Amino acid sequence: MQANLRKLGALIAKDAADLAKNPTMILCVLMPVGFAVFYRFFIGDMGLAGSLRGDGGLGASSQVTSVVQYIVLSMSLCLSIGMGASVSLIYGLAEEKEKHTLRTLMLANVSAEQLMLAKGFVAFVLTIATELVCFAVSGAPWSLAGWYLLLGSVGAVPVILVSLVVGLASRDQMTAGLYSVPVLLLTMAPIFGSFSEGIRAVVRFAPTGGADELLRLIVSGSLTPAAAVAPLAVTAVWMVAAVVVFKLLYRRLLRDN
Amino acid sequence: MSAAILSMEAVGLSFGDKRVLDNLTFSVRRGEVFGFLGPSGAGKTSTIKLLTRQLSRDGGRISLLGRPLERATEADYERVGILSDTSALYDRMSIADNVELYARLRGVGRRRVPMLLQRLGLAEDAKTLVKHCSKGMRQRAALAAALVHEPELLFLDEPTSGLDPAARAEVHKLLADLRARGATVFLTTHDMAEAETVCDRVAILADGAIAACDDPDELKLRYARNRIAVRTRTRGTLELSKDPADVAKLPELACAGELLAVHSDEPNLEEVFLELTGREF
Repeated sequence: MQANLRKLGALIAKDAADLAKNPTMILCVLMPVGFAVFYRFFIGDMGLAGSLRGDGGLGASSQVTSVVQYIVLSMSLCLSIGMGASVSLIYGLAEEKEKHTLRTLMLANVSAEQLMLAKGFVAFVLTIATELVCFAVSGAPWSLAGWYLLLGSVGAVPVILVSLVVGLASRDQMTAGLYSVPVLLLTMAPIFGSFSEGIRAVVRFAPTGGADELLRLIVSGSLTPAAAVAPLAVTAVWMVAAVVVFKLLYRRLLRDN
Repeated sequence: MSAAILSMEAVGLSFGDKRVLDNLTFSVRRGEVFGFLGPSGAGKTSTIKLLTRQLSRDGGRISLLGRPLERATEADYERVGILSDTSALYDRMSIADNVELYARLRGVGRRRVPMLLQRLGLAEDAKTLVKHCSKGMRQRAALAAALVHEPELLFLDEPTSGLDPAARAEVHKLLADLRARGATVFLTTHDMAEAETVCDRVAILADGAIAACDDPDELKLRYARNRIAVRTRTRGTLELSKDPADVAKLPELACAGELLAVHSDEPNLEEVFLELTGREF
């Protein structure tokens, strides 16, 4: 147990330090924050809010504010999970495979479980930290912060599990670039839900769809137990599916590597 | 030297239809530097992979640290160090940070790291990022990472590949130190001179099986040719057999004042290797 924790600690410290020096990973973190700033101050305050007040028929300014906040928070949530939990993991693992550092660690008596746990944990913390910064930028009331981070955490876990499998399946960073596209698109799909009800009806089944729907209900103040059942079920199904996929593929992929 | 620290008995390995190892049998004694030699593609790296659980064998028995490989525990592998042909360090971290990572993973703390880097000629470059290091520096840093926990059994897959002669000599000294403190080293190399210098025993792998296994000097004697070369004052160099009739000519040459030098025509390890494998490296 002590050896396990010691190894886990060393791996987490290594992954965190390496992340801080990796320009690709820094970009992964900055992108959601940058978009949050852009949406809040340029599209939100100046554009979208004005158009909603003028032509959207939303008279009450609190209603307008909540729509803007939902858009900024929804986009930040999906982008933070997409970039922090997905892209950073897939590229990170693929780089370790390409440069043989993963194998070298395993030859130093580090188990695959320890490696995956450390990488998953760092990606999770990175995602939550990014979500927190995005939340601060969004201008939403801090009373919502706990909910937001909870939804961010719930949405991140299945994406992390799937990304670990996709990272292991990627031979090198070039294949990682290809494989990460569908994962990223699926993760970010709920952003497009605000375009139309038709799109929303589809994207709410995405891995982050449940968390995004719950976020919309919370920000608009219409969260009820009955309304929460469907998004919670979507999230639970993704969680279970991700665990199953991870368990099925992980051993085989590890052996292939 | 004492009982076997690792052994293979009738081990086989195939990749698809290709038989890589066939009936491979040998053992390594505790405390020796054991050279595992063979032409490219002979199965040297595959053998290390079998011993380090990166591959599964088709048949036969493997024993590691006194117990069957199947029953080797994580704790057993904490006593093992491995430098593989693909061992690599993190590019964006310094040499010292990389070796310290392995020290932490192995639970030995950082105290040994500066001394080890000094020993491998890396002390001045300890803070250099690995991405800025030469191939030789990377190889030495990877060796430091494999050695940081003072393993009882060390697998080294061509550890001096890419090193300059000075660095190579440092590694040879380090291997001598490891042997002096009782560690066992399983070494693969293409360099026959290196094998002669550092190994207590060598095994030569040919066609997936051990063609010969012994002390390098014994091997050379075993494959010595039945002839001696005699340098004379006026008759040049004469080649004589070791038969009594030919040997009897030596006193005659000496009495005639012709004898300058007598050389036994003993092969070096490389020639033994070529004779056994019939192949170039």
